[in-house]
Amino acid sequence: KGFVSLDASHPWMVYWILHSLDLLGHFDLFSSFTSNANAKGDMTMREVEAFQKADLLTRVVSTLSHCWSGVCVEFSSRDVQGDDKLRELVRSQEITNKERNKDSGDGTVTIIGGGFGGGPSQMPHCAPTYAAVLALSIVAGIGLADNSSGKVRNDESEISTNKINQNNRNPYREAGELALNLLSEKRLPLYAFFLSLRERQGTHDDEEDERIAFRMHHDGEIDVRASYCILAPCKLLGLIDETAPTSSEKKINHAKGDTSSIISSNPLLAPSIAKHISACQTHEGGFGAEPHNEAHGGYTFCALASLRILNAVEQIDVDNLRGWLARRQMGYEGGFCGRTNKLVDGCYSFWQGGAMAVLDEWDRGATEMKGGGSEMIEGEREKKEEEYEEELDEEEEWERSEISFDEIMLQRYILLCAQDVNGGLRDKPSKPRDFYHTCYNLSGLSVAQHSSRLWLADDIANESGDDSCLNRIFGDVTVNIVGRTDPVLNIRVERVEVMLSQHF
Amino acid sequence: MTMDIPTIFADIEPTPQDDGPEPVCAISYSPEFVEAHDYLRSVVKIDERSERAFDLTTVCLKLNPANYTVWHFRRRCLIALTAASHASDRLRDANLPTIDLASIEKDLDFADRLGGTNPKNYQLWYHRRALLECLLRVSDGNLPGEESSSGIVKIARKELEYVDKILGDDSKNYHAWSHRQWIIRTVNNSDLWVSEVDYSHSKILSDPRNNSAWNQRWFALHEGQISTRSNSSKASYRGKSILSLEKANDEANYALCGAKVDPFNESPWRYLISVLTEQWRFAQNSGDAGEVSIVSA
Repeated sequence: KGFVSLDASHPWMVYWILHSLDLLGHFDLFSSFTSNANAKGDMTMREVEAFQKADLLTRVVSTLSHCWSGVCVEFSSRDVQGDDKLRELVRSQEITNKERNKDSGDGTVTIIGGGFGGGPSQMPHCAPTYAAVLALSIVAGIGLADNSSGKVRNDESEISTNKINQNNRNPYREAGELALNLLSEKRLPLYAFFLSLRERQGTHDDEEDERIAFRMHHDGEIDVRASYCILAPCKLLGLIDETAPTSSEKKINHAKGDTSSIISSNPLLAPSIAKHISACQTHEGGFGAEPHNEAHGGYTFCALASLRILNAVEQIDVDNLRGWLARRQMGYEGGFCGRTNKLVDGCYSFWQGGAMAVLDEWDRGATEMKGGGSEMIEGEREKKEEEYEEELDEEEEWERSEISFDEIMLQRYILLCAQDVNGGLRDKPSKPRDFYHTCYNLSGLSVAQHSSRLWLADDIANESGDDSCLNRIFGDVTVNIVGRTDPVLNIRVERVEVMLSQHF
Repeated sequence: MTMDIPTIFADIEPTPQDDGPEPVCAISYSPEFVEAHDYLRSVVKIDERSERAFDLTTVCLKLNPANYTVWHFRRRCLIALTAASHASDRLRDANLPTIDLASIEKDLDFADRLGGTNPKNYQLWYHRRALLECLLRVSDGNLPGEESSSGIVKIARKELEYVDKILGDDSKNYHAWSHRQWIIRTVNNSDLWVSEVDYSHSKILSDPRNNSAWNQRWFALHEGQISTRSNSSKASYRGKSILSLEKANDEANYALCGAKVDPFNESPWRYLISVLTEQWRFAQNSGDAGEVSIVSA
């Protein structure tokens, strides 16, 4: 009965739970970071369990596919002509339905776009769309993992992850392929839907001052969450990469004597989009839902992650933001609060902690946003390895910690205050556990353990004594480690890697 | 209000929810929930925007006020019903979808009653905005000159009173404060901007740690342009309006008074720092050595 209030949030429930399980290593066959339970034990039992879990993932894909809804969206012929993705969509739809996509003479074209809604037969909406795309990306990532990633931590003879029998078959492969197929199929209709949610802001006629925001759904609210709920899936689906110049653009460039610059024709990369997001930063340093709204952790994360995807972080007052984020960590509790003079809440472990991690990543000069942590210059990795090999005493280690918040205190809050003794995590003691808080507490824990580290932790301290791949850890490192989440996209970095390597 | 749905919709075949085989996260619905939504799906499919369809949305929204699809369909019904009953009216000339006054009032009231237990529901607040947008448009179009402006202000004040009521229960309700900003920004009446500064002050007095109130004060003074520098090219920093030096001085003192009440309260200190930073940057940016020296004093 209690879940009826989430009837318009089915994809969210799926994502919160799936991502939580993934962070706990539930789908890892030879987990390098969870407790020994997964690694040891009878091979046959593990095989059976794996296939049961694979069946679960198949059901996840099916459930999400039933949350999909198509919607007709209109574009000017000019906009369609200038956009290779819209042109492709029109072309593909023309094959099935000639009438619908005819240029209606007044210069508009009707396209069948779509998105995920909160449940079957519900209108497409940015938030469940974000949740669905992320959940499907997790399934795809699990099923299509590269066999060379991840290593076994014990000395058994199996050498690769997710290969479970002589046939080297990943038991999640089928589910992964289903997920990826669904995403491939919906990718361009999603794009059309997203573009149809754009809304010009302000009354300025000045083109340079133009700001464009996004609605959460047709006839719905405008706020900065929408930007993130749109840009994150676009990043995963390869809709946000710089597009190559069209031949006419190249001609213009050549005529100007400029053979190197790439003009982006991708409407998602229009400066007016980043401008609107930047306008949501307040005098306090954080971001609100709309310009001038109070600085708030959830919206701050959405704004910053969006700007990171757009490679536009330098447009905001970074110092002011960092100060605001730092002040949101509670000195006594160790967790984060959402706004000035408000109380600690476990979910902000990710919204605020994650935002800080995004900022740190950007700050370290990572040029282009990719999954799995910073891109490194050649030779830098060797240099970093050398540095980490040095013996450091605890104080020195704290001083050279690259993470901008107190990761030990955050982990402590999550593990000691946010956990329910019967399982699950919560806002704070005396509040009931729920899947949303479970997801974001665990995500925050992941950030506190892994962020600022230059590469994926693939072996845990207790064996080789090398703990350089983790931040300072609260508690027992052999049982407390969770998977490494990408602070911008909030799915595991291994899953991001699979998605970003797809050629749609 | 209990609605005998199968009887009223005897001519319609209900549409069961299609979750596919073996869905995950299946919700355990009550029979009345299933019945109402099965019929709503059918009605939406054939796009019947009628009185009975409207009543059905009421039933569904009471069961789940977060169903944004049902809210949207409800608005479509309101617009269609208005269009049908005002076929000969001036209103139709406006070329924008509109809802008649009586229906707007009723639905604002409906949203209020649903909102009681759901003060953090996005859909409720957006529904109020959508209704008010219609109302403001109607008031603007129907009444001439002076009267229209006071009509709009009256509507705005009434809604601001409503928001104040909500803030009485939860003084930091994010949606509520955001809604206030939307009303004031949209109506853009100088009296309302001024009274919002006073409103922020009253909220700050009753709880100096209410950061939302401090944020609202910043908003009212800066966006209302009552105490900002004139709109010359030098008047803004990064496209944002800046307080006049005199006002900045006043606000700095205001903040210091707030800080004296409780020096450990971050809100007034943050406010003070922001006021000073803004003036400092503007002075440096304008290259006016005199300004810079005044600010540093």
